[in-house]
Amino acid sequence: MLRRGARVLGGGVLALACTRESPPLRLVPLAHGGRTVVGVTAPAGTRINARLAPALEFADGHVVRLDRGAVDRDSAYFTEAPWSEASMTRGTPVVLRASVCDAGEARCRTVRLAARVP
Amino acid sequence: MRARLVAAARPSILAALLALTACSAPPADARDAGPATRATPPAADAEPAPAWANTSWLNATAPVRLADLRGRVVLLNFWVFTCINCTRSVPSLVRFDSLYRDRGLTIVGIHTPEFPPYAGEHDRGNLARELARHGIRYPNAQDNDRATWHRYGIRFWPSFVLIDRQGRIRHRGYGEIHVGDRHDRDWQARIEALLAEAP
Repeated sequence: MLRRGARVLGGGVLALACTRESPPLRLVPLAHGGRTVVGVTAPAGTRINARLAPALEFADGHVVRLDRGAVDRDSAYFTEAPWSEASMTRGTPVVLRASVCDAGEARCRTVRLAARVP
Repeated sequence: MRARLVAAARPSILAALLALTACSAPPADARDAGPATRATPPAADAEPAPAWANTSWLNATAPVRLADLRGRVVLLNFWVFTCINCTRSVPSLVRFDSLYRDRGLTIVGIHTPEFPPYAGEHDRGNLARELARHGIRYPNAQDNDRATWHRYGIRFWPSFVLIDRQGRIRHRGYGEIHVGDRHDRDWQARIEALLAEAP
């Protein structure tokens, strides 16, 4: 997902696999329209479900969906890191929930991890 | 406008709070095969299928119970409408239903949400709309509390469990299937084999 010459801002959270099958996801800051937004990246070969956009679950119960970003022809998967326009305070603890699908085995599963807003 | 990664002035400290729950699943089951199901144990060694107790059903006038299906071959499909791999597999299931329902096959959809209720997967109306959209006529249970999902040790969407006429699990598998592909042909062969067994 990295473009030439770009680097990820610090504050992204690398999710270590809970099992060998869980893909590492990164909550990262992205630049969009002149401001910084929050997005999530996945490694090559792992697709993020666009029909069930990733969610950031906050301790007070509110939820932010990372539902912006380009999708494939079937609107099934994001083709770039999904992100949200919502304003969030850096460092706020959240739970990232994402539906990820393995390209090779055509199956989906949920990844959930504790993180902080980058 | 496409988002781009912002160049860092300097790296900041990663907040490394990692949850070690929720992305794990029940221990791997040797029978939890991939799309091409592995060889199954002989019928005599096959385990009894667990009963389910789902109370909310669509395409059924009353809750469907496993005990009531004794004598029929049962194909459970664990799925959720937000999963593209699941919905792409539906044409195969609809075809199996049309081919084999009158010959003794009952397909039961176990609709298990992936996200909490805020995502809309728990909503009965949403599920009803999706069943109609995909032409699904076989019974579907809402498994909003994941009781049946856990009872069967399911880990992925979509997953399939094939139960014989005596109520024993004979095949398990997961992954997308397409009409006419190898996985579709495998499942069809297994359905036909179980239908051919004596009640």
